[in-house]
Parts: sequence; structure tokens; C-alpha cells
Amino acid sequence: MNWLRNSPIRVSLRGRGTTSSPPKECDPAACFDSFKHHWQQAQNIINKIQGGTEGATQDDILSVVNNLDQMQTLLVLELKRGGREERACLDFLLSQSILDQLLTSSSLTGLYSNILRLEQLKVYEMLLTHAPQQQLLLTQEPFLRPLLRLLTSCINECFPADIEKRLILLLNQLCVCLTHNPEYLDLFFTESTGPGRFVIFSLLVPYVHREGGVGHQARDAMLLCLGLSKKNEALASYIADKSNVCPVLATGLSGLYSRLPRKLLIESEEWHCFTPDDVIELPELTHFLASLEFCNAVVQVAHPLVQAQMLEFVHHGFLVPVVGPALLQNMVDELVTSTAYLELFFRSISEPGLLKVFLRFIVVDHYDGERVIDKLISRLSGKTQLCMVTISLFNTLIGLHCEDVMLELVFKYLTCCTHVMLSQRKRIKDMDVYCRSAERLLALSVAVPRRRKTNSSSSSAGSLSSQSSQSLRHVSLHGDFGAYLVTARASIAATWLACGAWTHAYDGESPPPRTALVLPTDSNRNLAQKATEESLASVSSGYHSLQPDSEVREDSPLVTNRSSAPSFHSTPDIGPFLDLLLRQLENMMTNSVYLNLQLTGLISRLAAFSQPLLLSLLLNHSLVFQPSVRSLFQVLGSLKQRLDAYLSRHDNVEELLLEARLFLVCREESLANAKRHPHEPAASTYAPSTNGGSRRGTSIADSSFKGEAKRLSISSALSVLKRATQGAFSPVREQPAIEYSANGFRLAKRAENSELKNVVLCAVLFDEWLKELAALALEHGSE
Amino acid sequence: MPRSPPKRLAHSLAMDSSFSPIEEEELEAVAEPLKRQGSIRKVLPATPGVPDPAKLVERTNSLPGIRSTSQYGPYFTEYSLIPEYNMLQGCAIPGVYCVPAANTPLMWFGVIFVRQGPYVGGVFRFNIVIPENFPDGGCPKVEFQSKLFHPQISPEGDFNIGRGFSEWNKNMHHIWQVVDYVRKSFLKIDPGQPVNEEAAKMYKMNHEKFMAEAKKCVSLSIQRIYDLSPTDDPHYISFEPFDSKTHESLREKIYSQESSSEDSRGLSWVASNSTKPFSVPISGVIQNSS
Repeated sequence: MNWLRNSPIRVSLRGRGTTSSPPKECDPAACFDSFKHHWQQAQNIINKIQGGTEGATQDDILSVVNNLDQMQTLLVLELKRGGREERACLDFLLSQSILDQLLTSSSLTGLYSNILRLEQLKVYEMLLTHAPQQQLLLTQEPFLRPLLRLLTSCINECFPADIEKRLILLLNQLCVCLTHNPEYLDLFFTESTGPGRFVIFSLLVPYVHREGGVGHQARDAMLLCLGLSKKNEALASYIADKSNVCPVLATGLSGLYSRLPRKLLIESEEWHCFTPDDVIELPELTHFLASLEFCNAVVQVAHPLVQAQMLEFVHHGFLVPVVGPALLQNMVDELVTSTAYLELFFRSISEPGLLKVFLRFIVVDHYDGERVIDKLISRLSGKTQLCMVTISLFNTLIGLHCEDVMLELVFKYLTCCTHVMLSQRKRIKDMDVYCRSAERLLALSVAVPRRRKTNSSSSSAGSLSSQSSQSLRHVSLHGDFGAYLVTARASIAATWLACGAWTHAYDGESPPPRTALVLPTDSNRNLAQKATEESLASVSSGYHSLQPDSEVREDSPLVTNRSSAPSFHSTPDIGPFLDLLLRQLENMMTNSVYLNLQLTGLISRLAAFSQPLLLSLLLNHSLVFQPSVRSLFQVLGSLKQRLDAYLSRHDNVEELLLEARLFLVCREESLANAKRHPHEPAASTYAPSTNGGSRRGTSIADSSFKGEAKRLSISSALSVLKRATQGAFSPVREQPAIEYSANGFRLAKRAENSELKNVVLCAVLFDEWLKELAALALEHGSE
Repeated sequence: MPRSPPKRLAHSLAMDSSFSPIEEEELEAVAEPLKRQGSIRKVLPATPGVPDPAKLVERTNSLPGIRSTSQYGPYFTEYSLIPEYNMLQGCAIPGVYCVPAANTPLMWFGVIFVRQGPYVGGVFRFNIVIPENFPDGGCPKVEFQSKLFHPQISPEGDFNIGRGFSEWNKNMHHIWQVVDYVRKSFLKIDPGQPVNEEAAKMYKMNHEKFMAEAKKCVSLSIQRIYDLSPTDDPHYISFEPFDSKTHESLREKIYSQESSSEDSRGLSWVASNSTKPFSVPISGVIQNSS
């Protein structure tokens, strides 16, 4: 490790330092004399070395170092004592150009140059720490000149760990000092460092990927420099044009990404995104996220010039060559992984500029004519793990409340208003004043067939219910409709606030329906069709008679149709995203409960948007849509019919429903416990072990999993619970909820074995979701 | 009609502390569009005493299959009334303030500061009583708390709302219209179909005497302005004399809220003339979401 650590020099230094330390309280004049004396001795040796031919011996160096130590101790005493007139030692140090002499001598000491370098670094650090007005030191030529020369001499050098540590500490100190006194920044752009060169920053760059305390301090210092660049053009142009920090960071991301596992051992059917525990279990991922967070912080603090360059490099050096291919490959297992990574990245970054680059990448960039977003949307169908993580990704994307994303996924298909019957268009903005939509939603609740209970079954069910209703009545959060209302209200308000900067209202008038018909399309072959559409729009009344409205789209391979012609569609529809979500919803009875939780959570999230075009499609019961368009109400109505019909054919449904409800209530309770006692003991140690730069504002533990605490809807709450109680890569742990109902209903394990039980769970979830939607409808109506 | 904010402010500040000054401010801000933050404020707590119908566990014991949505009735009533209240706030009817009772959404406390006409200077309290099955139960009632000599107000204080709303049409009528009708009835006296015959007669026959009676009502209302609340409902509108120690900080708060504008947040790179994602030029402003 460190050659110096166990060397005899080091040991002897330590020994002498302690024995001959000067007394704490001593006469300033005596101190000054002592100081001069020590310097005299050191200088003699230095002169001897410089004059001689044999070079320095170990004893020479020891002696110089020892004298310097004494001088430092005296300086500290003097500086601590304060008093402007009594800075004899410091004045002497500066007036005699002692620092210059030291620097010159250290270059001649050959083998021992690092020892003297270390001493010098310590002297500067000590002066900056103890000088009452450190910034004034920077204006002293005898201080600054040798400092800059020393730093310049460190460029491109490899140092032992203790010098690295001192160097980074000193650089950090200088950055802090300059941050407080940015007016002295220009002093660091001198001829001696090379034209326009900011030596502090150059020295920091090699440490940017370093782990541990040194890397930490280097990144902190670098962020300070970047922050300084915001107001200093010279520094900004140096960082952007002359330093290689942006490519180093961006290619660093690529390198770290390539080290991430390509496949995950996912043992749990319900896993759909990385939890904090998962991240901790994957050191490569932890390291990657730390780097990504640092990029986020750089973009946050840097000058626009640096920011733009950084984003450019992230785009061309990381997203396009690395993330894109990972998301478009054919290996399903690896797609699951890369999709989950992408989802985690979106949770980890917060800077609008960086978010924009990521979002642009998936929405705009083409790979062989295909966009990432189209591929992602196509993966919304099916019942696979890939579908789960994709839904989770879209949940996160929509949770960004970014207009461009919502425009791409939803509004681009709705702004032309062709999905609504012409006569209904002015009703898009109508408010549901007297709660009729909520009433209709609640009326869709599943009808429970009434059966005569046998003695045995009723007793077991009875005991279950009495136990649980005693213990759970007060902890169950969402059994209470009022709680749904509170959640809905918070969710709508948060969404509304987050859409404050949107350009358009999406109310059927802004943007005007006519311009909306000019859909963004990038393939030339659609131009002719586009033109036709436009001319049709100007005579919009005849539009639908020209189109084969009666053409019923086949149910199965819609996805492939879409991806082959993603830019336009002949029959009025609501776009592939909403269409696939509603199709997936139609399969609710055969979907796993976990998929249904994700799916309903995503649709509820969409239903929290107040933009009339989307709100009317999801929650207006009376709006009449084109025959080719399915509305949420239609799907829910048909689901209710099928659920009712299915359940009426089976016995014991009532009992199973009760057990399923208890199961869900128990999970809610566990969730509440998990929230009260966070199941992430390592999360607190994790946050500081990333690059923890104080400038970044949020630690990863806060920012990546932001919003977790806010999600209280049944669907998302349960999924949070799952994440909290069950590591994705460890075998399914026994959960209290499962144990609790173990005598009757081991849901997590057996649901897949039993179609009936799955349908029953679906029915319970459906009922609860209707309440959630009704609550959203009520809250929208009362805005 | 000219409004006199300083005077009103003093009064409003003197109201019970549970009465949020924000509502006051919204009423002031007639020209401004309705502020969302204030308007989604829940003012109507669930009706007490009604067993919670939606409890997950309990519900399984209820009659299966016949679950009517009527169990959500109280919620629907409340959520039908919230838009009504929001509309009333949005209208900012001059000189009239209303706040729903804390204990029930079906009773709103109101106070009117009359600024013109025979009752000018009067400060009259009234209650709006809303039928339980609103919006289907007919017209809300308006009951005045102070003694009023007025052709359209009975000696018991009941306002003759049927004169203006013979039949309540929920698709056309809203509570703010009732309040506005009440306000107007103090400006221009309508002696037709009176519920106080004597007042109507006097208005037509002996105008001077009627004006004197109205003045009496006004001075009586001012005398009793600081009367203690007859109810324990915390939303009852009560007054106290302006005291800078207690009220100045509130007043400052109101002014500071008036000046502070909410900065818009959120992510958008859609150009204003475009419906294309990321259509704002690269050099465009990046919205800050911090």
C-alpha cells in the first residue's frame, strides 16, 4: 500500500515531533526567533543539497522535514493567537519566499521529492485552515506563485495514497475558499499554469470515478468548481473546451453500465422494479447510480456551456450507443433487466436538463426507423415479467408529469377529438357536477352471489372475520372510502401543480383540433396520407363516412400492426398506449393479481390528470365515443358482467371473497408497518457512501425512491409493500400477511394454481379500484 | 358598485379564527381567475353519526348482492355541495360572505354587509339550510338571524326564497344565485307576494316610515354585531373589535399572499405553436422543477 507508512523516516518523524514540541503559551518574540532558527537550519540543508553533487541523503530530508514541522507548529500558534500586528512568522515566511525555496529544493531531492511535496501540501493546507482571512493569502504573490507551481507540477503524476489525500484535501479547501470569494478566481488563470488553464480542476478530473473518501472529496470539490463556472465565463469555457470532464463522465457511465448484470435472478412473480434493498445487493448498480447522480449534480450546478456539453456526451456517449441497444435487443431476460434499469434511472435523476435528454432519447431517437418508445409500448401486452417492468417504467414516466411524454403517449391522439362523436365535442370540458360518474363507477361493483353457508365453512370464516375485524378495523386504510378521497385529492392536486408549466390545456380547444391532425410523423411515406387527413379535417363532418368505421380491429396482433405503422391510423382511436392498457385491463380476470395491481395503479395515475381530453375519456360516464374507441367505462362494464357471471357459477365465493379481502387488508397493515419501520436498514448507510456531495441536495435514498410515501392507493400501496417486504433476488420470504391467513388462503403461492381464487382476488381488487376511481371522479368534480 | 376593502377587511379579520382569511381574499379577487389551491379546500367533513359504509371488513357482513350505491349518499351530497361552494367563492358576490358549518355540509353560515338602499350599513347574519338530498330536495332555505323588517322576510326571519326560485332546477340553479338574490333583495325592495304584509304595505304607503324602520334594523344589527355565538360550531361567523395585536399579523398575511404569485412548475418542452414533443428549440428555456 503506502510505502511511506511503515518506513523508518515516518516513525522517526513522529517520534521527534512529539518530544520537541514547543510550549503552548510562549512569548511571540521567542516564537519568531525559534521560527527563524528552524528555517535557518532547513535552509542550510537545502542550500547544501542544491550546491552539492551527491544529492540529498535520508538524514538531510529528515532534518528538513523536522524543521518544517516545528515551523508549522509555530505558525499555527501564531495564527491562533490572532492579532494583526503579531504575524511575524507568517510575514517572514512570505517575505523570505520560503515556499518558493521549498518548491525549488523539492524538485532536486530526487527519491525524496514526494516527502517534501507532502510537507508543502501540509503547509498550504495549514495556512488555509488557520489564516483568519484565508482569501487574503491568495493575493500574496509569495503564497500563490509557489502554490500554483506546486499544483502544476502535480499534473499527470501518480502519487501514493497519502499525497493524493493531502492534494485532494488542499484542492477542496481552495475550492471552498474560491466559492466564498469568487473574485479571486482570476488569480488562478495565469501564464504559469498555461493559458486559460484552471489547474485545480485538471487535477480533480482523474479522481472523479474514485471510490472512498478521496473520490468523495474530489467530486465535492469538482461540483464547487462547476458551480463557480456558472458565473465565470473563463472557467466555464475552460471546463467545456479544455478539460475532458464531460467525456470522462459520460464514457464512465457507459463503462459502469456495461459492468451491470445483464440478467437478474428474479424469483418473485411480483417483482417489477428495483427496490433500495435490490440496489444495495448489487454493488455495480450502486456504483453506477452514484455516477449517474453525480452527472445529475453536474448538470444542476454547471454553467449552461458545460451543461450543454455534458448532456450532449450523455446522449451520444451513453444513451445512444449503450442504453438503446440494450432496450432493443431480442433476449427477453435481458430486456427485463435493461427496462428495469431505465426505470430506476428515471427515478434517480431529477435535473430537468438530464431528464430531457433521457426522455428525448426514448421519444425521438430512431434505431432503424424504430423509436424506443414504440417498442416499449408494444411490450405492454402479455402477461410476462417484461410486461410488469414495462408498466412500472410507464408508471414512472407518467409520474414525471412531463407534457412531452403525455403528448406522445396520450394527447397526440386525443387533441384532434376524432375519438369523440362530433356532437359531443363541446361536452369534453363538462364537469361532473352531481357525482354521476362516481355513482356509475360504484354501481359497477361486483355482485356477490348469496349462498347458504355450511356449518364448517361459516365457522372458519367467522372466526377469521371476528379476529380480523377486531384487529384490523382501525388499521385498514383503504377500507374507508374517506381515505380514498383524501388520497385522490392529494394525487390530483400534486398532478395539477406538476403540470403548471404545460404549454397546452388539452381541453379540446387548446391546441385547436385542426392543427392537432398534423400528427408528428417522420416517415415520408405517410405524407400523402397526412395531406388527405388534413383536407378531411377542414371538412370534418364528412370524415367518418369516408372511413370504414365498421371495421372491427382484430383482437390479437394489434401490436405488430402498430409498430409497422406507428405514425397514423385510419379509424379514430386513442393511440396504442391507452388502447393496449385498456386491452390489458380487459384481461383482468386472467391476469395475475400483481399485474393487475400495476395496471390499475397506472390507470389511476392517468386518471389523476385534470386535462379534460384525458379526464373525459377515463371518467366521464356519459360522453359518447366513436364505435372504434373503447372507453374505460365500457371496459369496466364488461368486466363487471363477466365477473358477476363467473362468480355466480361457483360456490363458496362469499367465503373466498372474505378471505381475499382479509388478505389484502393484512397486506395493507404490513405495508403500514413497513413504512413505520422502514425495511431498509442499509439505506441510511448507503446514501453517504455514494458520492454524497453536499451540493447535490438530495441523497440517492431520498431522491430515487421519492414519492414512495405518497402512494397510498391500494394498488400501489400493495406493490410498495411487496417491495418493502420482499427482496427481489432472495427467495420469497414468509410475510406476516401470508402467515396470518395461512389456514385458509395462502394467496401468494396458490393463486396461480387456482383460476377461481385468481378471479376472486381480481374481483376484490376490481371493487377497491372502483372506489379509487370513484374518489378520483368526485375530487375532479369538486375542483 | 364601489367596494371598500379596508372596512371589510377590518370586519373579516375580526371573524372567528377558524374562518380562513384565504376565502376572504378570494372573494376580493374578483377579476382574477379562481385560484385552484383555495378552491379545492375541503370544507365539508363527513356527516357524523353515519356509520362508515365502505369499510372493507364490515361490508362483507352486509347484505350481499343488493349493495346499492345509496350508502355513498352522504359523500355524494357533500361532493355535490363542494362545487356549489366553489362557484359561490368564484362569484365573489359583493359584501356577502358564506362558510359551511363545521358540523354539517347542509348548513352554511352567511353574513351580508348592505352597501346601498334602505338597509345601507346593516350587517345581517343568515343561515342557508340545504335539503338533505340536495340537489333533488328543492330550494335551499335562507333564515336570517337578526330581526328584519322587510317584505320578503317573515317576522321569524325566513326569507321568501320561493319568490325567486319557485321550483329548484338542479341543471339551472345554483346556491350562488340564491345568495345573489338575497343580496339584491336589500338593494331594491320588492313588495310583491310579501311574507311580511305590514312591511310591504308600509313600503308602498308610507315610504318615510319604512325607511325609518329599515334604519332601526340597521342600528340594531350594528349594536349586536359582537354578540357571542349562539352555537358551538367553530365555523359560525362572529366578530370582535379590531385589535392590532391580534389581527395585524393576519392582515399582513393576507396582503403578502395577495402579492405572492405561484411559480409554475413542471416539465415541458412543447413549443406553444406545436403539438410535437420536444419542439422547443434547443436553446429554449428549461423549465425548472426544483
